[in-house]
Amino acid sequence: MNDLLPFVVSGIAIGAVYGLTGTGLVLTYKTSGIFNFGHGALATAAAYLFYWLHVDQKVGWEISAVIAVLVAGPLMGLGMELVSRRLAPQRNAMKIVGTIGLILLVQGLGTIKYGPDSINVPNFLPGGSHGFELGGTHVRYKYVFVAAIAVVLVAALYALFRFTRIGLAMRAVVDDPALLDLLGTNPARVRRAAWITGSTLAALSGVLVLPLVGLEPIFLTFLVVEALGAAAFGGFSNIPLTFLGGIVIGVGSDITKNYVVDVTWLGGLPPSLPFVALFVILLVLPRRRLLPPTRHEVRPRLQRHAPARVRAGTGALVLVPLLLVPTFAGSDLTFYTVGLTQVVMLLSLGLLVRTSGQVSLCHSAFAAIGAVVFSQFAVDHHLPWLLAALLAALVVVPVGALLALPAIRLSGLFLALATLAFGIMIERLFYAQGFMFTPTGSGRTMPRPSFASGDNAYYYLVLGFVVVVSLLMVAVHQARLGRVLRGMSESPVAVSTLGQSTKVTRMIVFCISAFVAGLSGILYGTTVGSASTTDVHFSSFNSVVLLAILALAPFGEPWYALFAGLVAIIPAYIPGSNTPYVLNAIFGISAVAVAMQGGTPGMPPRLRAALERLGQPRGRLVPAAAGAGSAVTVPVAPVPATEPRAESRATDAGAAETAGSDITASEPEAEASEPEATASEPEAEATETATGAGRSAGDRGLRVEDLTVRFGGLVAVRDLTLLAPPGQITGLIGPNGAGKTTTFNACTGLNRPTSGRVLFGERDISHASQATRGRAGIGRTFQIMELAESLTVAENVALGRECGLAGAGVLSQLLARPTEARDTATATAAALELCGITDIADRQVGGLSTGQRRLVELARCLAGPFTMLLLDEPSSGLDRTETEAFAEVLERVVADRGIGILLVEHDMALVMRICRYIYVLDFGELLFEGDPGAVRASERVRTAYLGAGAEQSAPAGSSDTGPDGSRPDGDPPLVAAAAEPEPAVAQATSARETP
Amino acid sequence: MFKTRTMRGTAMVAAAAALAVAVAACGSDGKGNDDATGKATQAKAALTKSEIRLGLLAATTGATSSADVPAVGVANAWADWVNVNGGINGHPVTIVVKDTKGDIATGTAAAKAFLDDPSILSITSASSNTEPAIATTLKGKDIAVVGAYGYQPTIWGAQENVFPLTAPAVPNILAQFASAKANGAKNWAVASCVETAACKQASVFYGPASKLFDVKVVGSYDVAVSAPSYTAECLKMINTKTDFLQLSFPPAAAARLIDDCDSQGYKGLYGASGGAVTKALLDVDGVRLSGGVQGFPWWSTAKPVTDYRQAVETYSKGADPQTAASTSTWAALQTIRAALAHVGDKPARADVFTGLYGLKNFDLGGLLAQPVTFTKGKIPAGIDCLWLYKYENGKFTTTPLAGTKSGNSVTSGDLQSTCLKLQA
Repeated sequence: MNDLLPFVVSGIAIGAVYGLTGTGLVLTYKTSGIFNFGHGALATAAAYLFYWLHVDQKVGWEISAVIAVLVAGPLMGLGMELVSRRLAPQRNAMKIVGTIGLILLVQGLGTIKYGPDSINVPNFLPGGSHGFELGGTHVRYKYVFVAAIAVVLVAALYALFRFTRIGLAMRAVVDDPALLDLLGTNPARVRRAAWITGSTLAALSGVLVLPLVGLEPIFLTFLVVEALGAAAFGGFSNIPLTFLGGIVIGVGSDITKNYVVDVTWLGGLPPSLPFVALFVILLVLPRRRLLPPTRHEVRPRLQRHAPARVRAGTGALVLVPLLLVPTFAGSDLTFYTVGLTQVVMLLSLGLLVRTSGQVSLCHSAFAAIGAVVFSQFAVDHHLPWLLAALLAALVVVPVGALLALPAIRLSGLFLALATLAFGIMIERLFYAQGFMFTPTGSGRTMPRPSFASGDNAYYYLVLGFVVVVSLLMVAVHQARLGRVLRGMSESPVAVSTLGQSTKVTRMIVFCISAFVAGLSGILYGTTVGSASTTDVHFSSFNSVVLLAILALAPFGEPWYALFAGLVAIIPAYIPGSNTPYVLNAIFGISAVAVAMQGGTPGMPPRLRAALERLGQPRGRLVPAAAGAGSAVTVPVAPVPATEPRAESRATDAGAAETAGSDITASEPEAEASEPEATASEPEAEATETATGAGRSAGDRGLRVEDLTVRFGGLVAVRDLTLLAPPGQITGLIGPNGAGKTTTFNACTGLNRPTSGRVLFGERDISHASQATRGRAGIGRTFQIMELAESLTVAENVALGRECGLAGAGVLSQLLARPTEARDTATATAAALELCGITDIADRQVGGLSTGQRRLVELARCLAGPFTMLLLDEPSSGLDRTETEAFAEVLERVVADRGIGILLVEHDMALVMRICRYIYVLDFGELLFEGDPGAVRASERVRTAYLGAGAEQSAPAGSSDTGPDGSRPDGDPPLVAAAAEPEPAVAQATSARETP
Repeated sequence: MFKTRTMRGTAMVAAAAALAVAVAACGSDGKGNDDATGKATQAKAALTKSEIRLGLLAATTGATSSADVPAVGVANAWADWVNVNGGINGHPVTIVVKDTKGDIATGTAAAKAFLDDPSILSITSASSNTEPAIATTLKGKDIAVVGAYGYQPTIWGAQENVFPLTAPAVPNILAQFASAKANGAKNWAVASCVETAACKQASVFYGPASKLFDVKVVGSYDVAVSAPSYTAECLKMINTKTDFLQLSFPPAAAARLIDDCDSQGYKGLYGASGGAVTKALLDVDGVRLSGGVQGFPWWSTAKPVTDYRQAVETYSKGADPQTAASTSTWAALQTIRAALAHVGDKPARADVFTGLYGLKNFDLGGLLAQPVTFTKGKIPAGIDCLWLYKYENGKFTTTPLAGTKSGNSVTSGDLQSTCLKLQA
């Protein structure tokens, strides 16, 4: 034990800094919903300020520390609060970009001032360099001092949260800022206090760590990543555990050194430990801990593409100057060639981030692996150049697949964290190993092909690759994969319930992205002739820079990638000594600004209109989503309101066959929209295989037997049994919090029942995944609508058909057969017509009214081959006329298609009119069941839910409502609770720990 | 209002960016004190023959620039000093510096730019990080690459238009053991950075070197540059009775390791060779360093060296003359000067080659570790000699290996070099 003592002491010191940093990080995250990747940048900024005051200006360390920590810290906190306010409603990618912009900004400015090399800072902490003997080892006071300060501060912070009003307010603002406001405490002021506290802690971390590691911009800004391991330890919410996590990681790293210090191949383990811890914790932490604090996000911009002719013309216009580059670039040609390789890299990253909505911060690692493997193939094994390049890029694919595993259970912020940790782990564990970049300083030799060894010829070869990859990306976006990616990007829950295996989708997109990134690394290495660890293009920091560049790049795909090329050639024309750092600083501040705006500005409407006119062929435009990536013309003929039954059955049978054959697969799927009943999602095998099973699967309808769903100690549904047979509409009513949506979620696989069974036809689907159930024939709408906001109405509706066709097969997710494309187009048009929303087919869903969005969700269900629809408050937001029309649609669909509907509604008139049988829930239990007349007459129901006025069922068209939704004749108010989660869910949410 | 604020904010950002870019583009490249520089400028203007322009590739910015930056100041000082002293055969001389930024693409472009500029008569390379890319670009071309320093044996002593003047990697690695032996150390260990494979590239030579100099290798430790404490490594090292710890990682982190190990009671020497001997290490209180330097000893009191120090002090006051990069750059430029001593009225690249081929047994009065002889049609031979040193109590001394002959014409004193070669 004495042997370990010095490592424990030094580990405690640095671990205390991790814990302190992590504490500030958790505090600001929980109160603002923004995970500040730039937290380390705040620490760095304070460190630089301290250094300037104490070393350059010779100010005493105490005053310097006070200024850097207690003045600069709060000021930075105030600034961050302003930034976070703008970032809070933005999408996850923008939130991440907005905070990593700080990293680039501080790193750039700090390097301009003090250079890139580490600068040692003379010890200023009390005790100087002295120490004391402990167990035969000299322990230095600076470590003790650092640890002591950190422990005292964190303890004080804990006491603040537990025993003071402001602390209580900080905890409250997490759960219900509106309530806090009502009680007289301004949530904005509370958040500001949290940011000031968090930033001050970051500043203190930066100053304390200076005598330990020196002044070094990248390490200090990445200090936040080390602290993430601590934050993960505390579940991103618990401060004492976060601090303890920091200690554990710090001590663990130093103790590990004792054992691996002379084991060369493990040399990278101690500095990698925080990232290993982070990665592992993210994989094992219960999903309910990984839900973001807020869900409201601004509507993303509509994804528009210019017509095909215009895009082709633009491509030609862009290609011409690129072809002419060797004629004017001269000795700067290398920069242009490097620029092209970065275009390929950005296309890779853009597919992941822009199209599928998954943020990756490890793409440089893919590039490095591709380059290394290529060198081994081409140099060590003498494979032909092109073969070596393609094979090497393929070798990167399994690495991408490996990274897809965390992507399956993580998303948004936590996926970004996992990828960042992954990239740093790869860098620290493997880059220095001989098998990667070789032990020599020059790294791996990266030869050019014999047919293009000259600079000009090689430039054109790389340009060729750019063209091919660009076309590939365009093809991906036009194909089914692009469509399902866009759907998954914005509404993963919906697409999984529609039958698409999002696990497979994520795997596919990570693999494609990794392949292209690997190719980029190969092209880059062969451009400069070598691949070495000292090349910044392979560094983990470069992954951060790439994301910032992507965020700043204007235009849609594939044009945005050209921005990377432009960035790469700037140093050729602005060769100042600080150009790279100035560029980083500019990227950083621009990234913050762009993120606060929600992205780069879209194309000016006039220009867009002009381009559309330019490329528009004759005839009427119909929405692009129906199986194609751009507007197509169809004959101006009325689309039938309903599908002929025979054709419908054939279509359903075909789709059902696809669904049936997939029923053997069972996979954990996208995040639930509410906390899950259990922490784990064991994979289970469905037991049936069937041909045409989908049709028979729904023949007996949906049956729930003795269903019980618990969330922790709360029983949301208890022993529920119900049947929703085909060919009729079955109602499921009850007050708010009765368990209706929970029941729906149990039926569609969005939560795990504690006991009981869910059967569809003869098949027990209790353990089937959401996608499997969707392909079996169960479709649904959501109480809180799940739509792809930036896509058009038609694109959303088409997903109802297309997701099921995509299914769980790799090929089926990539491409649609022509028959499937036609089928989707027909089904989409029919569903739009059926719901009366053909006229808004090409409008962005995010801009529609609630009622219109409800219709879009319904149309999406109707476009799919579902034989059972679970509709959760589908008429919420519709006016009287629309509700009437809506009722007719449901009745017609049931009559024509023979499907079953299980309907949750608060519009009692609607329920009474169209439901043949009704189940009434109250407090999670079945209160009553029967036909509408029986329900109406039941004293129990009336007392519990309907009230005295429910004796009269409203005839069609007579649903006049008052401003509060109540009827003038005294009927109980229609509950406008479409957007409110059930109390069971709300309670489960507030049960999460707060600081 | 938000939109307006955002637009204003964005405009401010754009303006700041433009200003910052302008500042970056201008860059900064400070020179010596104004009086002396003024005089040098006047002296240059007074030289009426055509200008001789010599190229210098150096990483003046970027992650490894601290090792190479001194070369630029020294080169500029050299140019002023030469001009004040009559130029090169009456021709004023100008050093054209291109920053490789330690980046391969930039280095390649810089080398190409020199290659494509016929006014650049020669290139001196002080950018070890990018030397493979530069060498590939310049291989077989009509321009001579003369010093300053580099480590790849596949370049120095392997290409016809590359004229090495300093020892590459192997002698520098051997110097780590030779200096240990020269200072009486018996147990040798190495601490290598874990982040870069290049920090361990010398490991294949440890076995043979250990046998050659009868110094035992007792440990090889991977350390993280960003580690907050090196206690573990230090304790391990002390336990194995290490008395010579070779430092194979960046100077700032090395300085922290020295501090940690000294505090744990380590009393032995720390090894630092070549470009690692920098101010960051020298500033560590009470540091005891030993190793090899491939550029001439800047601490020597011999006249050529005092001239050198004086010139740097006079014409590039801020430049650091106490690095191997500095002295080897000076030596390289002096060699070019010697080669062009009798150049005609219109100097061309071919004249540099011709002049170099005329140098026989040339060691610049002891400023080269080994005399050089260049012959047309033959690849210039590599260099096996350098200077072993010890730094203690704030003073440098040259500590040649006992029982070996000096590699150059100086047989005693600080300029006496030591030649190190692995036996076949």
